[in-house]
Amino acid sequence: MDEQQFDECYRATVRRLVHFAYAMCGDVGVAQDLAHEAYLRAWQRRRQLATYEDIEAWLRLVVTRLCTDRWRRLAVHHRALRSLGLPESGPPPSEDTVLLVAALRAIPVKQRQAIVLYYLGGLAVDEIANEMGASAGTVRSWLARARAALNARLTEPIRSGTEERPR
Amino acid sequence: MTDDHLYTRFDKLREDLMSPSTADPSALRQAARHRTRMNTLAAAAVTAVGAIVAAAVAFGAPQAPQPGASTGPTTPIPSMGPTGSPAPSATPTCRAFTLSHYGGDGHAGSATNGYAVTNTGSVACELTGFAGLTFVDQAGRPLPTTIVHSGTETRLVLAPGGVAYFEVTTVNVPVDNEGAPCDPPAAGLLIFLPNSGETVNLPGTYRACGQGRATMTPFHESPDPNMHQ
Repeated sequence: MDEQQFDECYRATVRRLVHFAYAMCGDVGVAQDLAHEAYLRAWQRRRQLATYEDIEAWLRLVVTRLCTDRWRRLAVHHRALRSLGLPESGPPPSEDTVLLVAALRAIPVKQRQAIVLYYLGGLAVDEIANEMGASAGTVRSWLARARAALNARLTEPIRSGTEERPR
Repeated sequence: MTDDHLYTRFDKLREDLMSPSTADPSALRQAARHRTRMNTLAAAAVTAVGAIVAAAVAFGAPQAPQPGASTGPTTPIPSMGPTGSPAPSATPTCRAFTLSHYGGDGHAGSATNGYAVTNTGSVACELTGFAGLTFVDQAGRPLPTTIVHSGTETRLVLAPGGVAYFEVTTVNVPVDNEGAPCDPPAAGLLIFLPNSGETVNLPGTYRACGQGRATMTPFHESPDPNMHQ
């Protein structure tokens, strides 16, 4: 992966990756940091990554790992990332989104990862199974449990979406 | 709740974060180079002490071989000669070599320099892990140097005339509360090979901030394509 390819990959994927990181981690600032941390690592490992078919899947994997168990131990990385001069994030998310993210954080990480890949990432069950190294049946089971858990926590219909959809 | 509602909620999340903060990707690449990797920091701190000790010994007796002054772990590593053939276990450590600068890559805040080690001996020799390095002043005295190893060490076998490469990234802006501008600049870079008493001093002006931080790659078989002549 040369500089131009990296830059193109970054520009094409950064929004999606930040969205994914936010859904997985539940904090906008941390999500920005995690996503950029993943790109830093991608550039450091560009020789290996050049052989991968789906770099975005690799980036999501890094974000997932970081946000589930490693990030707290890597406080110094916050400092390194601040040197990037990332601007402050925009207006805070709406209450609906905060509730969604809080509900996501309350479910086990595998279920969370599956349901975020499905609804936010738009991946098919088979693709999620491939990315998570699980069978399609397992992914369907995770999705069903995650839906049930979110159902239980998000009882109010969303009010401020772009359009009202029938319940 | 139906699927539709979940889609709507995730749509809303996307909409709320319509414009996430993004960086200039070139700044990301630069930060990646500058990054002190946490997973190598602890090992590097130990190694840096070893490197400084080795350098001090080298100053005292520059011609003496130093089998004990290794800059890396002594765990055996699978052979990976440039030809891909297994290295004979009795291959001697490289002691007869020349060192040359083969290219560099400058950035705001740091500089990377690539060096080539050529085996000038008449037999194949072995290079393991990382070169040692210390900044020196005009009188040749060692200055504070903090080595950070980047990457996994390998063992190379150099045929006579064979070349191995490594790169060193130094920081030329003050780090943390170091104060500007990390003067006096080092007047030379003393490089030595692991388990070898031979040293090479590369004169030049080096701003070595971050307590002389130098991020080093392990020896590898091909020059880094990012280096410019």
